[in-house]
Amino acid sequence: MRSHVDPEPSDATRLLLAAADGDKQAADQLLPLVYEQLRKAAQLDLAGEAHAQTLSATALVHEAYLKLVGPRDVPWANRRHFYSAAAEAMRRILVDHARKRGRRGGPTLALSEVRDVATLASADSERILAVDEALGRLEQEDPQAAALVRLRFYAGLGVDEAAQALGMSPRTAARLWTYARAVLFRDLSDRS
Amino acid sequence: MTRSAADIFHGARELPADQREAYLTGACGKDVALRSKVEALLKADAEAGSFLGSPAADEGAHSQEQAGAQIGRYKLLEQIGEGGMGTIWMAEQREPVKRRVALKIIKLGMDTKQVIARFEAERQALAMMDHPHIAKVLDAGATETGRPYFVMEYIKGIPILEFCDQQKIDTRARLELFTKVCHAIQHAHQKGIIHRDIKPSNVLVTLHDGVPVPKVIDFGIAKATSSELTSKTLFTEHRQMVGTPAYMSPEQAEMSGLDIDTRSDIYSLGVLLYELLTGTTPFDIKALLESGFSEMLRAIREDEPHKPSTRISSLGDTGTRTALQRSVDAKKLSTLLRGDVDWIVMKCLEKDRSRRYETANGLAADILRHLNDEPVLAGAPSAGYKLRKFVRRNRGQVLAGSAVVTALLVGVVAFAWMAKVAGEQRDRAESARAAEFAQRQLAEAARGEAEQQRALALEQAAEAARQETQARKHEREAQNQAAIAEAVAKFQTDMLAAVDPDQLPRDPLTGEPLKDRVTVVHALESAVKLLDAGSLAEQPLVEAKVRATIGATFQALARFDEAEHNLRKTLEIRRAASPVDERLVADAMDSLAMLLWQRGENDESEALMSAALEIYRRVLPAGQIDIANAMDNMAKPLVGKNKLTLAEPLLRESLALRRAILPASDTRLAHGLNGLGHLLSLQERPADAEPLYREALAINRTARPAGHPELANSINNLAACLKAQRKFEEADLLFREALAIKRATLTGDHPRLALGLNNLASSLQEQGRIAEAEPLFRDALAVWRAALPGGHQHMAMCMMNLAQGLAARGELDQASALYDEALEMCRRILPSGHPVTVQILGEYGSLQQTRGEFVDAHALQRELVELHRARADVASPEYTNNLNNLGLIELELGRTEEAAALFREALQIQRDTLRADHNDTHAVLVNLVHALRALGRKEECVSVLQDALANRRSALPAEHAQLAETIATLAFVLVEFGRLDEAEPLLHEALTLERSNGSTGSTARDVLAHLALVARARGRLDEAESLFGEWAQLQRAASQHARFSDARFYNEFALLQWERGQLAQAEALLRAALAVQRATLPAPDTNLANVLGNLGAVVLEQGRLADAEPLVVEALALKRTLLARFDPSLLNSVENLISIYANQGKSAQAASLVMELVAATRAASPEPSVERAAQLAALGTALIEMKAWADAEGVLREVLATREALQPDVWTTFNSRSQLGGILMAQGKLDEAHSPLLDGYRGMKAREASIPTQGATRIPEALERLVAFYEANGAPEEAARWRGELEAARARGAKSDDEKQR
Repeated sequence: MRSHVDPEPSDATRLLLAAADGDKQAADQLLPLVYEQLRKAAQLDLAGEAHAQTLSATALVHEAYLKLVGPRDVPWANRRHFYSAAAEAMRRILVDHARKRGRRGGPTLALSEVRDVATLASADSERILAVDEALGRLEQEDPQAAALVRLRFYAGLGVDEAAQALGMSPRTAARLWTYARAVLFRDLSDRS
Repeated sequence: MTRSAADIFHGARELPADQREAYLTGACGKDVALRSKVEALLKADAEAGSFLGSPAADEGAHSQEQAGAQIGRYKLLEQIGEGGMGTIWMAEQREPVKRRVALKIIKLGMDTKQVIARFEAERQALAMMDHPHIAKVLDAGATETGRPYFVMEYIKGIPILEFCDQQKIDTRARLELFTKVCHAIQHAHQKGIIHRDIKPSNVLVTLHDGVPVPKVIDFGIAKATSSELTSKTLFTEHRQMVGTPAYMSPEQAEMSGLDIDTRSDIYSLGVLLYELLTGTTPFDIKALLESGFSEMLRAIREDEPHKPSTRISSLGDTGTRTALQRSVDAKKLSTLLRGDVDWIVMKCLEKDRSRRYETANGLAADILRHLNDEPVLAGAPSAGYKLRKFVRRNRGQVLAGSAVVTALLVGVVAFAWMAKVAGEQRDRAESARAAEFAQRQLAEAARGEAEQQRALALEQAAEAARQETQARKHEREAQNQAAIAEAVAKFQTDMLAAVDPDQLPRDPLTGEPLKDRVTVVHALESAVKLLDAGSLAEQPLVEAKVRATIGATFQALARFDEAEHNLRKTLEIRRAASPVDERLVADAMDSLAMLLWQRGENDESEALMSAALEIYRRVLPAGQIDIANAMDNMAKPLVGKNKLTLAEPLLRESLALRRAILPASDTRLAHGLNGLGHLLSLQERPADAEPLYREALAINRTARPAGHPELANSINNLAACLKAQRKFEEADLLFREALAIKRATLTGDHPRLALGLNNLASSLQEQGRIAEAEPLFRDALAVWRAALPGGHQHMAMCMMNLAQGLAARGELDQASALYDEALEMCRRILPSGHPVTVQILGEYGSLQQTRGEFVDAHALQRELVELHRARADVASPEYTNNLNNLGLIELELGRTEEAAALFREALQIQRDTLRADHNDTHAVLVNLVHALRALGRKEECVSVLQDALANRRSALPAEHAQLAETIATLAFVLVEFGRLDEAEPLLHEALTLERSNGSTGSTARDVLAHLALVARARGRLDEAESLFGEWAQLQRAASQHARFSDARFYNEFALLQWERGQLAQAEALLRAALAVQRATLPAPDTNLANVLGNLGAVVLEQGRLADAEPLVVEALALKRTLLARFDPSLLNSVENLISIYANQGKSAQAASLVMELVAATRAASPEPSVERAAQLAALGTALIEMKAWADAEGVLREVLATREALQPDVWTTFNSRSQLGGILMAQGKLDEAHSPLLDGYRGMKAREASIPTQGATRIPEALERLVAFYEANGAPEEAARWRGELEAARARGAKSDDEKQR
């Protein structure tokens, strides 16, 4: 008789589940793991110009999520921690990426064209760092809005998913998103 | 504030540009900074473009797709969903009708024109769909930004998986719900619409009046957007919408995009069903994606997924539990045949679509067949399989153990088929053989002794059937199957048609017979009627065979009368046949013998089996396995009659035969090994059984596939045998292994899984690992509850096991509740007096007894007694234990007579059944003695003990250790009754016996103490002291095991030392007594008060007033609560306390203590009485000694008045008069004193002969008072005369003391 055995949960899953239980330490430990996964994915995909257009942050993050956790039935409460970590990891990837490249950098991109992580990644370093700094300022002013931007922009979550993650209605999230977007756009326009 | 800036921003944003100005002015007022901030934000918003997300991907948050926006005829109201393909909105349509609709707006990136063109092409077909479970697609169009959108009926539902999990829908209901989905898909297919994207999120469920109604959405959309499903877009797609590829059919995974038909939907339906049942999709998406996209596609095209049942069991504990909760927990679809569901699902998931269900309706129909216990098409339509379903469908009110029924019915029908088609067509003969093979297997199962074995055989048969089916690929086999199926169906119809409708249960409302309640029993009864009416009269041997099978089926249904009737008839027919086929006669005897054995008719069973065995030996060639089987059967009635030693050679011969003719790895050899092993276990020879079980297990390990039920069984046997030898370590390993096999191979709600859990837990509990055992017991119970809601004896046993564990850790209420439940179950499902009921009654009774719930315990033990008596099972140790326990309860309830009678009965039985040195005998004897003592029946008490002793003396050698306990018990009773002369030699004999056995146990100690008591009573104080000394030495060594009765001997020893002036030793002994009492007594009693009083007195006598005081105070307090008011012992303490107070100068305290007692006495007996006068007189005397004259006068006057009225002629009346005179004199009332002094003395003097020894000092005291009176009155001559009298009286008193001394 065949017996199918599921592999032991990976470190990430275990940490994910622990993080979901409110284990702060686990959440901290989770980050490097996610980071590593995303960094690899980003190196692969962000480096290739051809793919840069088609691969969204969503795809990257889902890919990383699948690799870490698999399609098992992890409750949303748990996935939320993952995506928060993923967003943070993605943000760092971009910032590290930009710092490493220094002042050199990609083409100068109009602010209104900074569509997603992939386009931002292809932008000049200054732009990448500026977005990050602006996000930091938004965080000071309105942490909820900043959290939403992280999830939507860096982790590529849809409005519904991000809303669920933040415990708000999709409608509220949509409004907050519009607002945050305007704030960031104004901030960045003013400074560039 | 930021928030308000945001609010104003939102407010303004929703307005047309020309209205914003006014709005901002109103909202910001004079706050210029705020206004400029909001304006900047609005400007940024307008300029932001694709910033942080292109408008197309920016669902709902951007321009057109906002709530309130108008798209075509539709006004968006609220975004209700978001997916990889786009966003879904709830919208309002105004024209031509006003209604709510759902609008699905597809993301940019598609060729909108093509999408819409494809949609239009199918539009007419879509419009033709009209089905309650389909959400209509109403319209399609393009938004202003050029994105395609679809308009659908708005469904307020949730995805089917979520719905089922949320509502905890059980498997049956899931299946039913799923069939509705199938019907919806079927409808679409009939209109030429293929869905192409069936997945949980496209099947929404709403509740209509509490009934779940599925609605399939998105018809036509996948097709319209399908040309986009190239590898590249799908790649992106799958990453965004994980799970979609999981529902994709292999032909879809080919990516050609062309070769899709309705059967792709069937595949997706299969995946959906798979997920509904197991909570997972057939393919492990994680694994697939890790190895890449093409690998995932390859897997979908080529890999065989696990069967749902395998998947459930491979999910591990959590998975199983989740699955259980989803599918089985709430409902009792307990014997859900995992074969059916597996087959149905796997048929959907066939790679080759021509092997899938042709239609969705076909799939639904098969599911409904499964739900109705009809044969499904998906599986292998072997005869055995179909018949199994037949039985299940007609199960009705039959038994929980339906597995057995099922097995046997296969026999019935398979044979009936034979009877009908025999001789019809030769090429069907092979099928007949196959059927007969199945029948033989199952008949063998029927003869099996244990239910488990039958179930096992059934599984083997089912397994065989399954394998058989797989093997039958070619045409001819298929024809055979068809023939079997046809015959079977015919017989089913005949049998069911023959059921008398009058015998069916009727619908209470309409009075119609309930066809669906046709049970196996009805069917069989009809068959018997046909036979009895002579339907097979011309073919007697056929009739015999039919009856044989029917009899076996009735047997399995526990309808033993019918079974016996048919089996006897079989035997009769075969015996009368000409020529007689001896082999057939032997078979009939064998079957009948096994039935009779099961009914407990072991004598006839043995006789028949013996005859059958004789025939087998004669007619069969030597070395036939049938002979071994017959020997095994022969052993059964012998075991039933407890003739284990006669059974043993048979089983050994059977085993030897098996060894001789079978290869060493044959499972039938393992069967013989297990049989003998079982007998040896019954004989409590687990060590002998162990090697047999080991050998059997070795065979099973090689011959059986891993996970075979027989292997689990074999492991379990060895484990149980090891457990009996307390070899727990290995036993546990094996129990765990058996359990693992069961977990892997059985559904999560299988009773045998529960049994495995229970067995492991029992082993743990026996090792005292209660905490580990408890959750396992609870799991087992949960499984049983789900599987057998009606209850089962094993479940009751498990409850008892758990209750024992709970009781052991003090959870008595929980334990009681479980016992109650178990008992209720036993009463409901087991025949009266079933051993399991008996055991539970006994355990529960004991628990209630220890809890002090004597009334409950009484009822339980009483019932048990009745059960034993009803079964005439009165020679068993269980019965005597039961009598004894009931006796103890009667004692507790104060019904000593009843108790004595029960103990007597128990003792009598024990004397007939137990060896004379059995410990239980002594225990019951002691209980009887206790009861008789309590009843004051001293003579009877002694004679019972003398009988018991005589009995033991005649049965046991003179130096037998257990003689001593009987001798000693008799001796103690004799000492207690003051028959010291008889006691003493017995005590010496007991002591000698104990010493020769080197015993220092409680009997030895008690004997020593009693000898000391006797010596002391005889005045041999030195001897008493040395015996007590020896006793005390043993006692100290055994101080851990001190009993409260030991305190008594410490006290006696102390009194001896006190008498001998050894005050310090006496004190130490009394303190030891006190320590024992405080450690062992549940509550203070008079013995404790006495020891305290004695200790106080000894301490007082040593002059340590302060130490003595608290002791005496405590003693007095205890005595006052525990004793009748004027127990002399209480007065002793009063006197001691007065003495302490007096010596401490606390005379007032002493007086008030006494007056308090006076008041208490008056209150306790309000009417004057001789008794009350005596009590008050004693207190008056104490007051006199304390010189509390005024109080004393009042008390004495009252005493005197009572006594003069009630007992004018008794000496104590005159003593009181004299005492009153003394009191008056002491107060200077000399005139009043004279007459009572003189009268009192004279009265006593005249009654001197009646004064007891204790009162001897009263006359001298009266004389002392007279002397004092005359001295005080200045009459020296008179005083001198009375002094002369006084001295004479004292001399007389001294003389009588001397006499007493001698």
